[in-house]
Amino acid sequence: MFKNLSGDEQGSAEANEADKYMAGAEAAFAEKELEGSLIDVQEFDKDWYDLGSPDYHVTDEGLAYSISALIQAFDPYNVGQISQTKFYKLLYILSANLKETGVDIKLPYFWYRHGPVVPYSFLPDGIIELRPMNWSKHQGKWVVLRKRLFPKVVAVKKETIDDAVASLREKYNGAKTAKIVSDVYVTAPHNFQRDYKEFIKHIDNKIKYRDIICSVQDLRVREDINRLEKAVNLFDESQFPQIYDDLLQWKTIAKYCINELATIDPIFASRLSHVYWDNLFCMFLKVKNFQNLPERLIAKWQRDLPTTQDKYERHFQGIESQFYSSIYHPAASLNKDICNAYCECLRSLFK
Amino acid sequence: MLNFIDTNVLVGYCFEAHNYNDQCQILEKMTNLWLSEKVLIEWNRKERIIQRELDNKILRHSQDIRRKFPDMIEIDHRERLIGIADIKVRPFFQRLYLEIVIYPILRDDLCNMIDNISLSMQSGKSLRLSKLMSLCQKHNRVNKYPSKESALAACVHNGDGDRGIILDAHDLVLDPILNAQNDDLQFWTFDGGISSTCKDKILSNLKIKDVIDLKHYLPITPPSH
Repeated sequence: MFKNLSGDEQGSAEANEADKYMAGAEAAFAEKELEGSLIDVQEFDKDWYDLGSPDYHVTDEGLAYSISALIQAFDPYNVGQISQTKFYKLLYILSANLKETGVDIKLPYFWYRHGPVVPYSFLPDGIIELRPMNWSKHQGKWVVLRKRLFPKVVAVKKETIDDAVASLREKYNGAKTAKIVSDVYVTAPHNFQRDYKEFIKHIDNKIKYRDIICSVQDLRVREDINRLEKAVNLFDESQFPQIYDDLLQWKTIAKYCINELATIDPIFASRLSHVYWDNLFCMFLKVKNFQNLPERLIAKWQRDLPTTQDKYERHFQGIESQFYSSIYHPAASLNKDICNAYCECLRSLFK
Repeated sequence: MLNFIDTNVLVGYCFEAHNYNDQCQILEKMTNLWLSEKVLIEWNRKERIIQRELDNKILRHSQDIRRKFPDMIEIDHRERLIGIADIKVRPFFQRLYLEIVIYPILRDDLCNMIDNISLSMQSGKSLRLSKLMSLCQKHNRVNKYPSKESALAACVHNGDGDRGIILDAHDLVLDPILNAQNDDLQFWTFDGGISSTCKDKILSNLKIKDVIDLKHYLPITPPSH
């Protein structure tokens, strides 16, 4: 690829290629997160539908006012300039910023695979409506105000909300939704979430562009292993005691596969790197980090957890079986004494 | 002849450490080998216990080292390393730290060594399970046999497990499609209660030709995996 270049020139060309790859990786990851954000909402809609979609709205006046103020700020003519995803992520940031100033607008939300999810159907009744959007498959619908009248709110609160909306507009007016989605993630409640995202961003892109990366540099899998180890080290077992052992089992196999990243089946690698997060961790996350949601919804999610865990175990067993049969190469030099010591411990369990 | 295996035989075959693993090698020479959904459910339950009581404790220990120990592990750390290991896996770690590890060792290298041992041990079990599953056919029983079940209840106590599994074997013999040749069935187990105390009751009530305790077979040295 870099024929006829001197050593320095070749090094510089490789660095440029690597920079291009990283920029592309960030963009591709942001796009994927954006797409996933909408899927998060659709999954919630299905759960709520399964419960019969009972009528439930948060009635906080501060929330009603915040929604109106936010849409007015980002879409002054109310023609449909704010996508569903952009709207609820901005609303989440606004709510978090307001909380720091002591104002709680009682935003209903839960954390899930791609960040916080704000269910529209739980927002104050009669304020917004959704309009179809034809051109973007990842952003759902436009969010517009039903009436361009501001709901009433006490003056002090109004001033605080107006200030918070103004600073949000200053920061994000014209910003792409993907940037907002990624910025929201900085406020994730658990350190593990942020570090896992950092890990998966690189893994996804290395799997996707493996051949291109390999042609200009090595895959630098040590960095990925370090990211994985760092994320797992930050996992707070006391917050998620039921799924800590699953994490360690997943990590041990994931780490081995990262070492084989140059040759591993990319479909398998992708399934493995997402399986714990998508199918287990985030199911526990949503019942742990939520606010202002109806009790019956949380009760349903909690009821579903044992089934979720069983399903995950079966799913993971399938992955393990594929791993051991086609990826793992047994270590030839494994010490016989240590095998015997393991077997002695095992034998006590057969009694 | 149909050969139907009990869960304990599946366990004996898959875990090399099992006392009768060598006897289980005979399964590889058998034809018409069967198990049932109930056998696999029992297997999963047993495997989960082993995972929880042994493998998870080993992985937790490795993670504890990553969190609590310095980058370089010195010989002086040995007692502390053994001390933080769960009692159930302490003999394993004692052997590792006292006889195998060469100090000083990088923390990452030590943790990788432990993770690799764990993978290696799991690998053997997983490969043997895959192999056995490729040799076995699975029977799903839909018929219920309340009178047969109550006839066995006084002897074969575990209704969901042992009794259900024996009835699965009985049902297989009667299945006109799966057993079109009207073959007899041998039930293979390590459960002495079933193969001796309850044997007469099973043979007189069910369409099972024989209940065989695999313990009494001569061991066959398995090929190295």
